[in-house]
Amino acid sequence: MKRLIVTLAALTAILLIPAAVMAQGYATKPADAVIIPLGVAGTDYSKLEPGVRGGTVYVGTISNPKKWNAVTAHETSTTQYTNIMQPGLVNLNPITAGYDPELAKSWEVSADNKVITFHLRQGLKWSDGTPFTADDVVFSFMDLYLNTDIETDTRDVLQLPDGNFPVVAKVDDYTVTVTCSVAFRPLLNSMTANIMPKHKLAQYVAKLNPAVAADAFNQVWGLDTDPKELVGMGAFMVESYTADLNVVMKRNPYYYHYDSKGTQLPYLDKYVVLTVASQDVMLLKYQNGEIDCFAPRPQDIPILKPEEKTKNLTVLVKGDQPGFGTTWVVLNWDTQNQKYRDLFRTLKFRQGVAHLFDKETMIRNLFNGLAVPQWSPVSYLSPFYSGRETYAGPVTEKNAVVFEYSIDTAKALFDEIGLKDVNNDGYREFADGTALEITLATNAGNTTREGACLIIADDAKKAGLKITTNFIDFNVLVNQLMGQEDYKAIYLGLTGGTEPHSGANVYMSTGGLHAWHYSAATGDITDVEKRVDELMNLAAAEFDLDKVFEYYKEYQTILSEDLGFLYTINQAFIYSYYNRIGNAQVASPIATPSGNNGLTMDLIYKKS
Amino acid sequence: MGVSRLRVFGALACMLALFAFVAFAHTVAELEGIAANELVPAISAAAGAALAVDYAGKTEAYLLDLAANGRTIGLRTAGSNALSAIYVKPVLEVFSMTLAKVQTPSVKALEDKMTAIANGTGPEMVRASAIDALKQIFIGEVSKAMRNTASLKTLASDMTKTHEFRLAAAKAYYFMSKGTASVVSIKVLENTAAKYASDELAYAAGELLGDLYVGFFPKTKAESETLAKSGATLVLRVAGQVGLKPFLYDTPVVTLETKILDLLNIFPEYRQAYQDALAYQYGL
Repeated sequence: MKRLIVTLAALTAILLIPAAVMAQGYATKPADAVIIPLGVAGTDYSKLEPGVRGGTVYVGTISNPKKWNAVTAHETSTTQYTNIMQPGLVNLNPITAGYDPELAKSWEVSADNKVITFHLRQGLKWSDGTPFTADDVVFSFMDLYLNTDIETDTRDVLQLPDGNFPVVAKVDDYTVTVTCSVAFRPLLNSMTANIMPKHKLAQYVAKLNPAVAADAFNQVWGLDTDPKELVGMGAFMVESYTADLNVVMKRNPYYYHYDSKGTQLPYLDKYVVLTVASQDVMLLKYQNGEIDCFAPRPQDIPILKPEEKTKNLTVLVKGDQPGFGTTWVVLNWDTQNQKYRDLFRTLKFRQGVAHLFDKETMIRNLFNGLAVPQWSPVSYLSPFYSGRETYAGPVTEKNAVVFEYSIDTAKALFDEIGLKDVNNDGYREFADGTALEITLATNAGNTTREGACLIIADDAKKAGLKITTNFIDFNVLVNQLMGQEDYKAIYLGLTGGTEPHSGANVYMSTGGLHAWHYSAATGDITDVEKRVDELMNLAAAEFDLDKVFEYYKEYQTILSEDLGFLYTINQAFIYSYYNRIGNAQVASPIATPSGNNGLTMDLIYKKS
Repeated sequence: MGVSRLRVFGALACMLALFAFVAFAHTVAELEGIAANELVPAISAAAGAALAVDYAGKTEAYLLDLAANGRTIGLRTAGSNALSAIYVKPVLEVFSMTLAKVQTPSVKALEDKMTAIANGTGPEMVRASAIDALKQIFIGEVSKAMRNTASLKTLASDMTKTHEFRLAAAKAYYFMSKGTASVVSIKVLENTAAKYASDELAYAAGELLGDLYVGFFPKTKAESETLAKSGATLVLRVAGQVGLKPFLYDTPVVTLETKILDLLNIFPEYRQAYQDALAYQYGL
């Protein structure tokens, strides 16, 4: 009998495997497919056009991914792949930045704003042919994002103003409810979180499988994973990864987007992400036609503009549209050396450093004028940006918190806190005479960041502050920023969006990316941090957008004054593509085909 | 006298006949005909430049021979430009990985090979074939911190090196300096009192100034022409040349060819703009 069972099991396995291998997509278009109205007048997509299937597009990167696990990812070098592999219940419209139904086809909000009922698309399948159901949604939220065994930033943005978390429950195979203890305005934004396949990943969750360690899921889907094991519902899946060389993404035969002519998306068979040594090499490869589209730096525009005609490419420049996201210097308030810890926690020191930032020179020298000074944690394009005076009003910068570039002011502040050049070597020491030297690190190959660091170091020298630069691998830099290795100062950036609450993982005192002061989460919290936490919760519970604007205005002011991040520059939107790529003109600050939010790569096609 | 006048007339008649023949899209055979038989060097060279794309599949040995020994400037240009594309490929490959993984010995080996060509004693168009690849090697080396940008300026002014070597270094220097306002800005590059340590540096500066005009501060066609013809310095004339080209790309072939005839031995930068535009039109 036992032998029979074993034989039957083996037979089943043999029968199943070929079925999985043969899984080649939907026999017919699912009834709940998403129809993208490309070229249809009166729609958001009217300026784009239906394309043709086939071909491969090449884009570039200067970093390897860190992993394939969307849930535990903290870095764009990973999310540029995971965001395209695993969409959420809702997704960002790449044209309007509004929320579009994605894996959920519709939803209703209860009268008290505490319950959202999502109706899932029926008939969809994961890339391995397994049906998608409500079980996957409940698993993703209740067993992954809200599971404290799992290191994920998403939990921070899901936390409700009263400290509780939403409860996601299954009603039936295609209906889930999300119930909040208090009304939570940004909840819909949180529903963009990647939905993960329960049938592949539940085995790694200790809560569901006691045989594995509590942190097992944190290690799963690392770079050594066979790409065949990676399952998603997005437009593309990883086909292969060669460290330091490339990632090949192939079409998912079970993607559920179709164009208005009934053609299943994506149009492309594949897209390949080529790893290159630096942004300068990326420009050379783009000029050579080996890369089809990319985001040039402002300094690259003079090189590319004259080639528009001869090489049949387009350079898009939107000077009045700085991109989403922030760029900043962070001083590590938790660095190991006590003297530096005390120094970095001294507001006057941080103010002095902020006065060293010659933003106009950075804009002129590094960005050819195509950038604006940045001072706020909220993206310039957000309707909540308090460079506006009202919600969604025009930008006047009347509320901007400005630290004017002034070497003299920096010197005065450093003098005030007792940093003096005791040994007359041109550099200040600590009050007790010990040497003071700050290493400012950024990612090697990113020449604008490298250039900014050099400008800062140069100006610091004029004020007698010794800053030395160190350009290192992006993923190593992220490790430092995550607190896994000690550091003094880092120059880096974060992605952003229209909803300030999506920065909760950074700006809340308990946030997983509260990079300058992780120990705030264990009680070492400042008054400013307490107030920021309060404001984020107040704004999240409020539905009157004018009131929300006022909360976020104070939030931006106090964060900017407190200088947890010392903001620098926000670059204008620039993109370039060869005209052989159809629909590439969809590129905007919201989404670019080669960007890290995974949007729009499914809309582009090869014209020849 | 009568014989020479007849020769001139005969040459012109050939050219006019050729222009009529090639009024429309150009086949490879037609371009080869122009490159091989055209008496006006700039027109021959323009055809050669257009041919380079069609010669991409030929062997390195064939192209080397063509670049060295092609009977006309057009044939030698075809060989040189096609060879250039072959030489650039391995350079981009060696930098097609994360910076940490780029192998310094591989970069050095390529630099040595391209330097041997660009700085060698071979014919002019063979030396020219290595300019682009060497420029890109220098750029990659700065990324890898194998050299700094300032060293490129030194290389670009080294008179013990060939013109081609210096030009590669000069182009790389300005490429890497394009984000540095103290080196690359309209004000700095337009300064007619500025001294350049070599003509190659001035040429590369002019190219970038022209790029800045096209990218950020457009000039009219008339302004660009004036600059290209009679700019006070090489920098300004080359800038005018670069700025003029976008205005010429839609100009009919016959118009471009006729204009080049008018500029046979004068205004080299101005003529170059027409030559490059003609190469573009031939290649369509």
